[in-house]
Amino acid sequence: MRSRQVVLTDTCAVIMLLRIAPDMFHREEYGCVMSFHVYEEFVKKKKFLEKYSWRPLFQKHLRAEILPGHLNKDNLYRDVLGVVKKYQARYGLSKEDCEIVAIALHMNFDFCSGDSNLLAFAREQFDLKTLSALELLNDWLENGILGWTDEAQAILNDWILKEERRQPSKQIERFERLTRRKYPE
Amino acid sequence: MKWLGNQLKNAIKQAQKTQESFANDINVSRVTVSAWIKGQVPRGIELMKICRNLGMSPDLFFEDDVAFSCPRHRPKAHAKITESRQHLAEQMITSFHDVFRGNFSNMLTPSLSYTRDSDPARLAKELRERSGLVGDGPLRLQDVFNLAKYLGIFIVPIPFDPELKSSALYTFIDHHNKVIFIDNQTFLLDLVYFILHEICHAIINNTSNDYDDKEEEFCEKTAGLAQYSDCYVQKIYSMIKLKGRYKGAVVNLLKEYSVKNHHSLFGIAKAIDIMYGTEWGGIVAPATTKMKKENQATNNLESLLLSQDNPHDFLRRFKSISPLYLDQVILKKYQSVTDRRLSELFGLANVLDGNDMRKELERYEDAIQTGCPY
Repeated sequence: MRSRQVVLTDTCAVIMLLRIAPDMFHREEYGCVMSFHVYEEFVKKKKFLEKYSWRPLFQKHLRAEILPGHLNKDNLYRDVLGVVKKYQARYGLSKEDCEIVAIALHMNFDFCSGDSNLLAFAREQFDLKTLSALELLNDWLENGILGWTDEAQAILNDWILKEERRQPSKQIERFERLTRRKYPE
Repeated sequence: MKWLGNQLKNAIKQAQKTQESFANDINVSRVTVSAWIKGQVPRGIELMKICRNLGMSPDLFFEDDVAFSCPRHRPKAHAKITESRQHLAEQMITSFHDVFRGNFSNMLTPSLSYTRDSDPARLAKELRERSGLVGDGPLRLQDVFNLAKYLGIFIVPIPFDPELKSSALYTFIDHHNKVIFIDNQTFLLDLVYFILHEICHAIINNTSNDYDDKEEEFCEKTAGLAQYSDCYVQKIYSMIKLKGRYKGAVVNLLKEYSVKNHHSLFGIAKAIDIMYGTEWGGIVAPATTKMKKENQATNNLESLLLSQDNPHDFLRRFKSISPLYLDQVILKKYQSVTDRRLSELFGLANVLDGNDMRKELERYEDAIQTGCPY
């Protein structure tokens, strides 16, 4: 079982987990934070994201604790960002990717994303503790923060229907052990 | 970005440390420090320790190693060429270095031999022929995209910083790649001329960054002559003459033809002025501004692409605009970039879902490899 640590959650992970745990940013036990980047990406109308028609209903559950005002004045954060940007081209990152990873580094957060390229970068270059959406969910289940329900299982089915990122097989096995339910195919 | 190992060596010396003591300070072996000095790139976490220990910016240890041109071209609306605009243009270009670096796929493309001293009418005629356009009508947007493809020029549609005061920008990246960045927020009817103008620069391919008045004049003249054939200008002028002196009626007529034939209102007025010595350019200017204001938000490349309801149609539309960039650049890179970066490559950062596009690109690539229709 992973020790408790604050986790910075990226947009793709929020989209996968928010309906399962609407309180994830409001209850300390979940250990989740998000930056303003993620808030903006979640609320902004994105093309082909009509498949996430539930987003407006869940917007009220979001809470962006890390704001541009905090970061712009923080010289240490800017130093970290300067280093991260040196690897931007090599790893095919966007400006926002660099800023989000720099936040995780600077504030000593773990990092949860659905983007495997971004996770690989954070891990390989900065030894950041990274986790998939399913691993974070498993942690909540294991720590008793979340109970598993039919509604939650239906949302997991939705991950497959909506072609969400493939989750690591180790975490799938762990999920099945914890919930005694089959991970959808 | 190229790592400068020697800079590290100098920095350690400047800090009056030995390589061994520096290695101890940051908790690595002396062999590791030696490897960095010889050219091995440190990991990000190691670079952080290096910079903190030596009190230096990471910028000092890297240099940009991708050659590119960033010519000073005339901005639109008679805006001045300034250093800050030039800097913005350079930033825009360097943000795409990673995707064009080492791309040699376009080396065998037709090369038109023209200079700024050539006859603009001759080049204009050739451009019209090479675009595949049949007849005397004006060159339309798709004709210009076809022309760029024929000439091996990559078209990259992205949002420009409004301060650039430009709608299109030609650059030559990494010795092999002729690239025209186009502002995907520009009013569609205006875009044909701007792209044609940059195509002319691409044909001349002057890699100096200095502003060249003669080259600008050549490109301006050629683009105008290429966009509107003499026959078309004559036809429109004869229609204007029939309307007599009623300016309002003439402006409406010109507007009607602009919309019907997908070209700029100001552009056709200017072409008439050049041929007949009239002054319609100034007269249509308010109508041009009004048309843009009313339509720009819904009538630009971004809105054209986003009008597609699904990733498949979106990609097909993008391919019609920029087939070389899609097939020779995006397809090579899409698996190794993040979702956000992928949507940036389409010029639709924070609007397009990178994950959806990645899956669609996989389907597209499968279709190419299996020879199935896409």
